[in-house]
Amino acid sequence: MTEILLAAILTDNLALSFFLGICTFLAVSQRISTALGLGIAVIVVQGVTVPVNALIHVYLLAPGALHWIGLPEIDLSFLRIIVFIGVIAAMVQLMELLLDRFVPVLHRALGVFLPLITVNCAILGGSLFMVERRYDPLEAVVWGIGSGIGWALAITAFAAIRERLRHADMPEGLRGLGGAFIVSGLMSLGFSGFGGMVQ
Amino acid sequence: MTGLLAGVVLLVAVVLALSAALILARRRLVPDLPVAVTVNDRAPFESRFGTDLLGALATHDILLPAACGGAGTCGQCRVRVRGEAIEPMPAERARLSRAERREGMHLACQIRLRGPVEVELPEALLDARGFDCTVLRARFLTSLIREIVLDAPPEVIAAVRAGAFVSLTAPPHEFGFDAIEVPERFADDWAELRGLRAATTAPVTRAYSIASTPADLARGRLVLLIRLALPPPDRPRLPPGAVSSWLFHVSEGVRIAASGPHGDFRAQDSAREMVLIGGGVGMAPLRAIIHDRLGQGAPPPISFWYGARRRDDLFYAEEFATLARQHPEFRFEVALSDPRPGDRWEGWTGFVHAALREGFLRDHPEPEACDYYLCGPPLMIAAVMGVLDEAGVPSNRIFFDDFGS
Repeated sequence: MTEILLAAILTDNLALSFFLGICTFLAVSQRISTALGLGIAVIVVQGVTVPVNALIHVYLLAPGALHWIGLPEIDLSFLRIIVFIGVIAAMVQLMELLLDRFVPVLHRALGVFLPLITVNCAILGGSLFMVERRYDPLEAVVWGIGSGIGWALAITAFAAIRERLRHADMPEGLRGLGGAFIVSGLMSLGFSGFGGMVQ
Repeated sequence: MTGLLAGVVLLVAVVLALSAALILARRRLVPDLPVAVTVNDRAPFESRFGTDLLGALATHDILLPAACGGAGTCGQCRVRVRGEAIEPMPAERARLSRAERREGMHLACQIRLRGPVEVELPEALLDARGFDCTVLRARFLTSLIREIVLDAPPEVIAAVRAGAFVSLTAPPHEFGFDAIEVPERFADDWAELRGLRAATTAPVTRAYSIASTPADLARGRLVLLIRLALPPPDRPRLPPGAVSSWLFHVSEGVRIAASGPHGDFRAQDSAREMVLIGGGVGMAPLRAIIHDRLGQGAPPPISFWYGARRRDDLFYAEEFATLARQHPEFRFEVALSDPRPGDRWEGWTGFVHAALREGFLRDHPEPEACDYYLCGPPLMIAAVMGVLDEAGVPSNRIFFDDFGS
């Protein structure tokens, strides 16, 4: 369990080791507060969708999963992506309703990037990795929350660096996205230092 | 076969379950409840949970000015919210000063009703009413500026102060610019605009300053100056301004939905010398103010500095020249920034702020003791603010109506 959590947060960090969800990672990292808000939203979405998708996978989609209703020979795993995306879409929409109701300022600040996490590769990636690595539902909870925390950690740290870099004396051509790419590359290099920590 | 069936059933079941969950969540989070809105200690009225305050007020005939139509960019629909502080939205941070936010000022378009609210508005705004008016006359003043004369109900006319503006609403429309009737002398300028199209699927509202003289008002007429909002040269694919295009298209007899009058740009109650500086359709409120002051008798010295590109862009020039002959205390100066050889221009050449500096501020014994009224494009206002600052004019002597045209 601890290994899965550490791997999710550090060694297999979705943003900095797999470079998943980079569009949002670059777009919503101008301010720490907004980045942290989106990070928390991703933790919640990830923490709910991965376990729900794990249950769906184990009890409905995997080969032989339907033996509990007497259909052991049926394999519905080809429906995996469409079902996973459906669950994610519903979850993101629920998240939107919640934020609009209780944290309207964050909702307005995230703008179109909140609905866009429906098709964020980090979110779908979290569920697909769960299947690929054959996590059981309990491990899926840890992996889901952990990978969300990892992504939130990455975007918050990245936003903090970008906030400070705004006052740095950088060459004109590197200001903005150019510098952001270099910084994310360096952060990724830093995260690769965690490699080997988890067997 | 069973596999296919199982797949279909499963997919349908998953979608149904997810939709049901969302519907339940929506019912709990966005309940369809009445919300009480109280304005200035009047009797509260009911609105629905989740609507925006600007729209809620509008449905109860309280029409706040909102030139941007509720996008949060014009900063005009200001209200003070009493009671518990609401965290300001990003758009409000950009439009309201820190002191204003501390006092509970908000933009009505950014507030969603989540519970009973009490708001404070200037009483004058509560009198602004929606009204219908008819186009009496419409004519081209320059190739891109059109003068539109509207008849308005007497109670609206009575509320108009020189310098005020009205909001006009264009209904949904679609037409090509080749359908606009252009006088022969502007046909050349319009040749390249013929391909543009104006289209909107929802009503759009924009604000226009009133250029009426007291004589116009006495006859119940609102005179408006419309500048056609064209796409910026570097982004030619953007659509032209929805309302201005439509107002270039309307002909005499058309009914227009309007509200107002609004605005606090007006002549100060003082005997100080008045200096008015304008460009483009910034002419409108300044014309109203000049006629109003000159008509009151014993006005202070007034000078009007108007900037245009070339002689073709000038309008009302004869009218002001006549005024200057009739009233020794009124002075009218024009600066052309780009006169054509055929213009045979002998007046000021260059931008209006430079003319103001050379012809007024430099030799005036007390430039800081005059009131300055500015109305025109943002760049002109910025340049004039610069020379006024240089001349030592304090900012509380400067009044401006910046509408970015």
